Amino acid sequence: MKLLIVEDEPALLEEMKNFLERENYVCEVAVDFYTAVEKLALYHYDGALVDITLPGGSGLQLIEQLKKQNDDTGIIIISARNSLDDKLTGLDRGADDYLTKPFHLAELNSRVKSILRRRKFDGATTIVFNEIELLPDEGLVKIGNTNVFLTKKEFELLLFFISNKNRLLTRESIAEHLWGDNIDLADNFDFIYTHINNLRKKIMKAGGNDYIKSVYGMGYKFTNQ
Amino acid sequence: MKLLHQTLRVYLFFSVIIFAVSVPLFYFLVQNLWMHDVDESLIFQKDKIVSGIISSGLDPASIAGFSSTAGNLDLGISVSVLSEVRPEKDTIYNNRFYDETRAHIEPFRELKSVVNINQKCYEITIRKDLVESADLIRGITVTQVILFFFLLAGLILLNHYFAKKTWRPFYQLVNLLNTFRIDEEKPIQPEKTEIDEFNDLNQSVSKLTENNIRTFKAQKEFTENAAHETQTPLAAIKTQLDLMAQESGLTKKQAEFIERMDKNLRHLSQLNRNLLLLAKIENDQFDITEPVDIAQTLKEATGIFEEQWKLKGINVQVKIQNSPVISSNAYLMQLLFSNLVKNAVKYNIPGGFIEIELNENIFRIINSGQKKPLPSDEIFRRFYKKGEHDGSSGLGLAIAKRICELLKFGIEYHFEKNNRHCFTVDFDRGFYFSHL
Repeated sequence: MKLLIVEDEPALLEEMKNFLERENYVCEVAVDFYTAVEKLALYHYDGALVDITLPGGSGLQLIEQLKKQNDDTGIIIISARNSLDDKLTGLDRGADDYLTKPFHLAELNSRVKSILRRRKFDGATTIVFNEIELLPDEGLVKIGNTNVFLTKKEFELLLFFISNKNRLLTRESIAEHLWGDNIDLADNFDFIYTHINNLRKKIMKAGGNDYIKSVYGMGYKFTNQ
Repeated sequence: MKLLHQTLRVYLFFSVIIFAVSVPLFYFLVQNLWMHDVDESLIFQKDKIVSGIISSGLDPASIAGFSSTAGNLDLGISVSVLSEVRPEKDTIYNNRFYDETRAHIEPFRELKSVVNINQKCYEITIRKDLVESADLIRGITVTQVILFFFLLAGLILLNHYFAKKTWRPFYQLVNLLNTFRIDEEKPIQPEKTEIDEFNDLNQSVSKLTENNIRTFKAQKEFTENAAHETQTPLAAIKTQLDLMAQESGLTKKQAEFIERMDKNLRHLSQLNRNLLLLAKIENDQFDITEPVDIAQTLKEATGIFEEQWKLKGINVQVKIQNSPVISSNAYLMQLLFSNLVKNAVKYNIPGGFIEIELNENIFRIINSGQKKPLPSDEIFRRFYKKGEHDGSSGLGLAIAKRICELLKFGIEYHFEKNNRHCFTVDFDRGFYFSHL
């Protein structure tokens, strides 16, 4: 899978590139509008991460160009702006998702995966982790032949874990993923604990293993090691 | 006191002084002139009598006859022959006599003159009626008073006229200044007037407001840009922290630091976002005329927090009447509701309650919480915080208030007994569409 990252802040660009490469994506980068235009004209990408404010032009124009050339490229806007207008404009012009800075890398990862899944396989994929099988489109989880009935939040949580398997997920990043902008309610960490406990119990009750490991009380890791 | 009244008062004061001085002044002047004139005419009359006696060669007996006739006719002339010879002499003095025809004492001017004609010595007395001083003073005063009232009426009328005409640009300017709002970003531009001073003033005011607006804009843009630009480096730090958290061999202590940094980072970026949002609301970047189904909006807003209040054991009652639709902005309404609901959940006590009421006129949310009232004049200020919740940005209610101001709603807080914190949004001042 080949990704193009368009971002003018070098430090952020570097970290995103390193991170995504470790996730086995092939990454190319562009630090300004013209480089991005050139690369999009020359090569084909499976996904593009586009910042809106760029030296030389707007990321929104890039999206339009991209839509004209390769309609199957998944696009995520990465913007410092959190306004509804920008979001709607971006999605209108054909972006698949909108991520507001600052974000957790785990969040970026799960969004990229979800978009590529939708784009490349029309969403008709199952995600498998050992005995656990997820059907994102139907919101179904199976262990062997047993259906596991999860709440919406529990399902999101499991998908987030599996998208970021073997990676430490801080409680902050989990809370942000589950509740978005409304996570500053003081008791969120208790909620996470409750959700994780329920998820763990339901999986184990259906015959699955407990893959959720607590790390130093700062977060969780979904791993079979 | 109005400037006009002030000048009028000065004018009036001055007029009264002039009036008070002028009455005696006129009196003495007129009396002096009059006296002078009377004296001259007395001397003239005496000279005529003397020349009459000389030319007609009257003997003392006929003169005595003339004198008694004149006395009888009350002509005020008497001529008498003196027994001894005295030097010629004119004496003029004031005298008073009882006037029979007018039946009261009248002032007279009297000339007593000793003359020598044909070796005979005569005493001639001539007197003339004087105008009474009281009459004179009365006459002058009446004239003056009438003039004074004309002057007064003239002053007041002229003043009034000038107030309307000359000062009109001034009042226009005051009006413009009173309705001036810096956030509307329209500098004051008064009409040109015929008066140079007002033109100067207008120009200065116009320049001043332009400068203020420019500064205001720059400040707003700065807030927006600063908040916006900091998000990117924050994003870089956050990703770096994420990567650091993945490092193997992390100690528990290091992990704690990472978590705390992550949390603070989120607060910082949330703060930034809220500042950005406030700047946007203040920049009027929202269309506030779209019809919004606020019952639906409220349901969406409460939906976000349902999980939280359930976990906190809060009993929530929502009463919605009539599904009102108001002219507003969907995003801002959602933000307003969610800020207030969030507030009610966040500062609630475990096992507490929330009561929400919505109809076409008001939105009211009552929640349990700490047992004493909040300072109602402070809670809507930016960065107001209740010590125990360090996680809040202190901007939620400030944003709610700004939204209400923009949408022309009223918002207020009050505390009812039994631990009820009550926030009320009054839509009445907003434009109302219809019931669905």
